[in-house]
Amino acid sequence: MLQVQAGQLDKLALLYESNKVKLFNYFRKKGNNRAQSEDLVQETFMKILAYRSSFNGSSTFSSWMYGIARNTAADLYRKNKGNVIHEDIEDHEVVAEHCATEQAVSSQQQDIFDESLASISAEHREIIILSRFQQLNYHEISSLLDCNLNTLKSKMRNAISKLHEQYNKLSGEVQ
Amino acid sequence: MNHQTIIDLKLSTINKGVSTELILNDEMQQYIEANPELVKELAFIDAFWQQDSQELPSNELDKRFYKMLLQAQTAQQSIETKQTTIQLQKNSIFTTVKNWLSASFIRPFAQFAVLGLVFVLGFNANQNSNGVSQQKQNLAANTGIENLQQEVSSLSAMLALSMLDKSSAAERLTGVAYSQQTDLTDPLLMKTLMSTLEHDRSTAVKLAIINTLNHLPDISEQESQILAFAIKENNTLVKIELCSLLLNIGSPATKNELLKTLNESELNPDMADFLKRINAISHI
Repeated sequence: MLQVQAGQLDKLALLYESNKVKLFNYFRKKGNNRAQSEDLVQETFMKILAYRSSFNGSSTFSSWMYGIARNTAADLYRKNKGNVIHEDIEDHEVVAEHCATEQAVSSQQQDIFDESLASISAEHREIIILSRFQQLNYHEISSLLDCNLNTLKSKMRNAISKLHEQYNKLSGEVQ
Repeated sequence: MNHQTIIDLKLSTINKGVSTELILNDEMQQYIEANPELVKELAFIDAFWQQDSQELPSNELDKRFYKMLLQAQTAQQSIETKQTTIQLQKNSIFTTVKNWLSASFIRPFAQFAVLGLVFVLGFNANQNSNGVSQQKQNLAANTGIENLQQEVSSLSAMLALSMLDKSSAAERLTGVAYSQQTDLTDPLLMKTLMSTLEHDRSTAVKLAIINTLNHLPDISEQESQILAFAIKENNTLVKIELCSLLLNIGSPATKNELLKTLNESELNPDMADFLKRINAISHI
């Protein structure tokens, strides 16, 4: 990123290649459809380029990038007044390498996980996505969400508990 | 010890990315075994962390990104070329003066003049040292502002190019607004604006571009293209604006050609009258 800042714009391609899938899945997990998620990835990289001089290295590139990504998604949400389009679970193109039966079971479980994630609060979902799918550590997440480390840990515990609750409901374990 | 401690430990271990395997002491192990609910909770966390599903974006995203990057690089190169040209011009002026001063027949006069100049400057510097340092600061600030303006102009050009490419007319309008924040010297941006003016379906976007062109000090490079657009344009409002643009800031040759072409074509009487009035005003 420092090279991009110094004017070597071609280095942005390296950052794009190593982050595009993660970023795309971040927007997908937040409930945007494929087209919206691609637009948001494009928009995020445009902002990274436009605001490159504001990256001061005090945080990691990942947490700075997700800060921009969060704001970009929030802008879209405001523009659409909350009408973020959720795709049906069936539309997901899940990449899994298992045999046919295992794949079916795994895919079913995957669908329930996704549905559970979509049904918990946006705040809880965000924490889980950043930790589980974007692999940011607690320090990065707490600086990104501007909250205390202990508060974050407690929120993470609650988020997982809610997710488990939803998962049990959807998979019919709790009747 | 309680559920919370063990779940926190599990989540922290996972979050550190070391392993999903929880290292437990005997006491913890016994506690977990005594609580089947906690076992379930931990198994759920493991299952959730082990599921591996990642969707891949389409190739269209790559195309769009690399197009945007190319546009940004072109805008940057254009700015750098401009800066180099200015630097070369400055150097060339300096070299000319230096050569002139070192010509043998005027060298004694030049030396005398320089000595005189040094004396006057020294005298003034003594009296106005504060003023000079102020000037230096101003010069540094001006250079900083100039660089900043160029940076902003480059970013605006990049944003304009990206927005002009969007499918929504509102976003293209934003692109035109961004282009107005630049000095419109970027050839790629100008080319994109002209192409949008020719092909865009939105009247508002076309009118905004014409308005942008209206603020240019010189449209000689675009005149022939604008003339061609004005002649073939079907939208009356856009046609009138294009004609007004040419009649107001076009060269006399282009104005004559436009009027000749318009006289030959069958114009709506109201429009013909309107253009006559604009032409009359433009002569004042």
